[in-house]
Amino acid sequence: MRLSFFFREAIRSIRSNVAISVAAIVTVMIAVFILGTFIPSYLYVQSAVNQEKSRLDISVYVADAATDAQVTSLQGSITNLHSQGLVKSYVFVSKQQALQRLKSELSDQSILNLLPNNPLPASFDIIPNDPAKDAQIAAALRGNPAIDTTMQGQGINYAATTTNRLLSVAKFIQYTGFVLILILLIAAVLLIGNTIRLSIFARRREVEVMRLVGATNWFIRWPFVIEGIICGVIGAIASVFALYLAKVFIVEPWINNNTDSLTKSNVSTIGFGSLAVILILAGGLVGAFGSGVTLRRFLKV
Amino acid sequence: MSTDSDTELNSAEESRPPERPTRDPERRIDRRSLLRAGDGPMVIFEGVTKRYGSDVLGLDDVSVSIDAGEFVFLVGASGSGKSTFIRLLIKELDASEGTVTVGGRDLGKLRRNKVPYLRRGIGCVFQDFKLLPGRNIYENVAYALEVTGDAPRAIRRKVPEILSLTGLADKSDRLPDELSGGEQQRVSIARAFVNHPRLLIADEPTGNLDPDTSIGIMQLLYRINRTGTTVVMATHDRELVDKMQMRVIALENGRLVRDERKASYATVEP
Ligand SMILES: Nc1ncnc2c1ncn2[C@@H]1O[C@H](COP(=O)(O)OP(=O)(O)OP(=O)(O)O)[C@@H](O)[C@H]1O
Ligand SMILES: [Mg+2]
Repeated sequence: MRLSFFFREAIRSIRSNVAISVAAIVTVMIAVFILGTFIPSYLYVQSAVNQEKSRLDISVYVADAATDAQVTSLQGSITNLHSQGLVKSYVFVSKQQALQRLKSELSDQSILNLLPNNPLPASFDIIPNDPAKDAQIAAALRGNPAIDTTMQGQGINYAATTTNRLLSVAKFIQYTGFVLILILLIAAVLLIGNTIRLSIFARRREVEVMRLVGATNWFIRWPFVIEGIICGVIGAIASVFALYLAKVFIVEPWINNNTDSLTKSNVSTIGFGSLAVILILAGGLVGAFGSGVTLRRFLKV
Repeated sequence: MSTDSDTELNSAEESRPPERPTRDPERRIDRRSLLRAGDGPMVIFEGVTKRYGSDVLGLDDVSVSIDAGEFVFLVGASGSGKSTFIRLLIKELDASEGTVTVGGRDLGKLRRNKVPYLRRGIGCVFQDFKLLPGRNIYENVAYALEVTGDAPRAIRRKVPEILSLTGLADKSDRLPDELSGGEQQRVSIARAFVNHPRLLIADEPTGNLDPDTSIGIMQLLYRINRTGTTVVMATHDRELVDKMQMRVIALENGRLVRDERKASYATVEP
């Protein structure tokens, strides 16, 4: 196995152009650092979205004037949607129960006593299987004569806007983050590539001699590839270290100060250990890719 | 991973008839050298022409044969085609016409990716030494062995051996630019010979050296030749050639104008 030889060759090369290698390492470090803040944030938002989604349900308000037959037919439609798999579950909330629920939510119940009669409609509270299909469920039920169209959302209230807003935030983070990371990774690949190019250039006489004594292409290439990987991995390790400091001194104190809003939620993100592994792998990949691309261009047979 | 990690040697290579197509070349190749052992000539040029671009002629219809074990001087004025001849031997160049055969291998048919294996069987020495500047003498010589995938233990044995043979035993920690020109050329010869190639080519190895140092280098090459290695040496050095009285191949404007055994640099005009 020539690995130890190739490693020594790579180290030799890095040492002989320290400044350029450091520049590449720093770029990788910045790119990986941003990747390292993005991954947990993205997962956090994604998880928050999912949690919000699971809380969203649909209220279908029943008109006071609706006949029993009309209500039964509405319920039939909902059962239908249930059997189609769109609806996860539903409950009927009578006018009385609705009032009860309101009472329990209000601190000052005296206000209710002022009401001449119960203004709250009865409703079906539907929990959809997939919150994204809220609108589909609503559309399927719309037009049923039992529905009280004077109510909010023409009798069918679902938090489409909230969901959509959350989803669009998630998408925004996803896309901008993705583009940003792509740009940074490309920059890192190019910089590693540049390091390797300069390294090849600095050693072009050496490479010529290597060819003369019968070195195969890969024998000449491996040290350069390893050089790229070493730069990538060192940059990634440096940024993992920086991320760890940020986690301990910035993120965790902040979470502790905002406990109430967060501890109750099941919103979760990635563990630091797995994040570190992913980032170091990414650094190595960037390094290998950067040197690979360059070798193809500048170290032809 | 690297194709070099597989150090399997294939001795069947030697007995194979040359015409047989190589089906799985990677397996069949002797990783140390492609040159076939045998009694045939080491080098055969048949009607070799090398054109640079469309009009410049490096070599012009040269046919010559060099037997295994011979010592040959390649002489001629500057621009006569000596380096072109040398570079064709290691397939740094390809012949425009004709065939170059080295160690039974038609280099025109040798695939690009086999060239490294060809070169492992040919030691090369140049006027400018071509040492690796950042490495000491030991590492420079060891590199030629690392390339062939020699075991570290074998490398540790062979390098000091060749360094003492070339009179460099006490210089192994020095960097190339801490040595004199003659010493650097010894290092490059040590590197060329450490694999015990069957062919050693030298392009003006004494071109940068003073006459006394040149004689030392010449003696070293002669000793290498005496071990059975074929040596082809391009040179301008009239004195040296006259003194040695070896075979002389003379080129002029790319054409072979003289091929004489036990000869001098120039024909003695009566
Ligand atoms: N790469 C090249 N491109 C174009 N022409 C070349 C090239 N190399 C050599 N030549 C030409 O080919 C001819 C032979 O050159 P070559 O280098 O073989 O001569 P030489 O005998 O080695 O000369 P010298 O003694 O000066 O080293 C010369 O006319 C030279 O100009
Ligand atoms: Mg020349």
